[in-house]
Amino acid sequence: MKWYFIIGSILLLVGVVLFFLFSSSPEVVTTPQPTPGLPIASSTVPVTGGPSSFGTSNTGPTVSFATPSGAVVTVKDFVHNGETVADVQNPGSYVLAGSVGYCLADGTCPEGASTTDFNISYNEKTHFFNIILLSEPLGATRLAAEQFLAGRLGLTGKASCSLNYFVGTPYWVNEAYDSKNLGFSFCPGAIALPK
Amino acid sequence: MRSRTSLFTLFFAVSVLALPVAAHASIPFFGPVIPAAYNVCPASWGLLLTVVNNVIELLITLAIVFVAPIMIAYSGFLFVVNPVNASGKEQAKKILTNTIVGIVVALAGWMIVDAIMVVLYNPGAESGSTRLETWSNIIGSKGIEPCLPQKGALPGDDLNQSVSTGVSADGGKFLALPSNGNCTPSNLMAATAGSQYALTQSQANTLSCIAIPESSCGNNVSQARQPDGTPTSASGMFQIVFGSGNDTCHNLNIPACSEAAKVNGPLNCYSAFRGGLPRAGKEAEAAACKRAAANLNCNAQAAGCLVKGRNGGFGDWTADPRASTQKNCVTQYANK
Repeated sequence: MKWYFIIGSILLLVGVVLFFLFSSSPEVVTTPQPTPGLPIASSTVPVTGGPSSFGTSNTGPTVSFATPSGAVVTVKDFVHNGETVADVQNPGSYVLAGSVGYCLADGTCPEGASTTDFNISYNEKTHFFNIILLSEPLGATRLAAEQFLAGRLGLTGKASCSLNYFVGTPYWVNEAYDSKNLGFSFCPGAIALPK
Repeated sequence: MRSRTSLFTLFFAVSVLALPVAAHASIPFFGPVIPAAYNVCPASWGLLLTVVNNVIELLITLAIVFVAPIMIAYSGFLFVVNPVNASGKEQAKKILTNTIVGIVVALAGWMIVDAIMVVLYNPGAESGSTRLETWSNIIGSKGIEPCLPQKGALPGDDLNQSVSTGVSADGGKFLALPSNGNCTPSNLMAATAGSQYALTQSQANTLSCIAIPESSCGNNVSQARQPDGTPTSASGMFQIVFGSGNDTCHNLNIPACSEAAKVNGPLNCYSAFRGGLPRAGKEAEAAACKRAAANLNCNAQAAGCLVKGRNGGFGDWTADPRASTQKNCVTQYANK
């Protein structure tokens, strides 16, 4: 009786050990994805910089700046359009759409174009557009952000692809797409998103 | 009989004290013995130490969780089937005593070694300010590389050493560091330079990578929600959650943050929020905290504060079950 008990215990123990030793979850092989539009840390990537130059054309006020390829692009003045607000906590940054995320000491809460679906900011030092998608479905939100930006800049289609930009979404919106530059939907290498 | 009672009392007291400590560490441990993140590379000394530790922890776990209950049950069984047999009762008592002694010795031995090694690995530890981790965790985070460097691999690139990843510009890493935007490593280092929370290159790289899933590298993001949909006070590039802790970092009790918020004296953000929302009567303080958190210098220094508080760890960004990208960032860039 005693030996049955002991042998049974040993067998149970061995079984448990074997179970835990060999029950590791299968390795998930992740295929690296190219990150369109997102400059990769490398000395070969040109860093845009230099001042923006404001001017006027037949269509109204304009602003010109260099793109990552070195070309100069001229777009509608989206900084002084009465809608874009300065991000006073980060000098040189402007918010085109969405909230700046805080209220000033006088109680006012600056906000660019009113939306909670996306946030678009611009850094005039690097001419960098940061487009953050904040609501699902991401495909529709990206489309809305693209249309908004195209309207404010007066750029259409492929011309936007030359901008220095990042389209992303935080992990708390969609963890499957939080590590990538999703790109503009019409640009080469853009990530297809659920509509 | 009296001495035995005292002995059992002593064992019970030691066990009560020992078990929570063991639970706070990495026991119970059910594997995997070889960390999943490192089963793709040739093991170095660091990984060998980790595996040895894991084996010890697994054995102690098995002893506590499986062997001890079985032996205690067996002694109880002997007590039941030998109500009048003195030798049977004596054997049952002996098994019970030996089991308890065995557990205490095993746990005490592990904890003594762990305590000594954790102190040796942290010669600069200060009471009340340094958070000591378990020995095995320290091994993994104090610069002992788990993988042998491979011929042709980039410096410090101990994982993903094959050349077939398709993203060659950054050495084959899956997650590329941004070279533009507010969250570049150089911007983060500049934002923390000169402060007591200055970042190292490795920490700046890791945080730069983490900023992408946290806020898409943006300063103005503050709509985060918990997995159950409830709001949080997470703000700014590193989504600092004010309500997470009443400490220097979560309170934004940092000079750069007071300066950004344009307030005199330290901020006290922990008490300004409840349930992710401004606390009634504390709206002005909460607004100041939001204002500060949106500032890159403040947010980066708060992130540096959290990293420093965890002895170089990034647990504040990897605890959320949705934070798989953040964990990959730590795997790829921390201590590199």
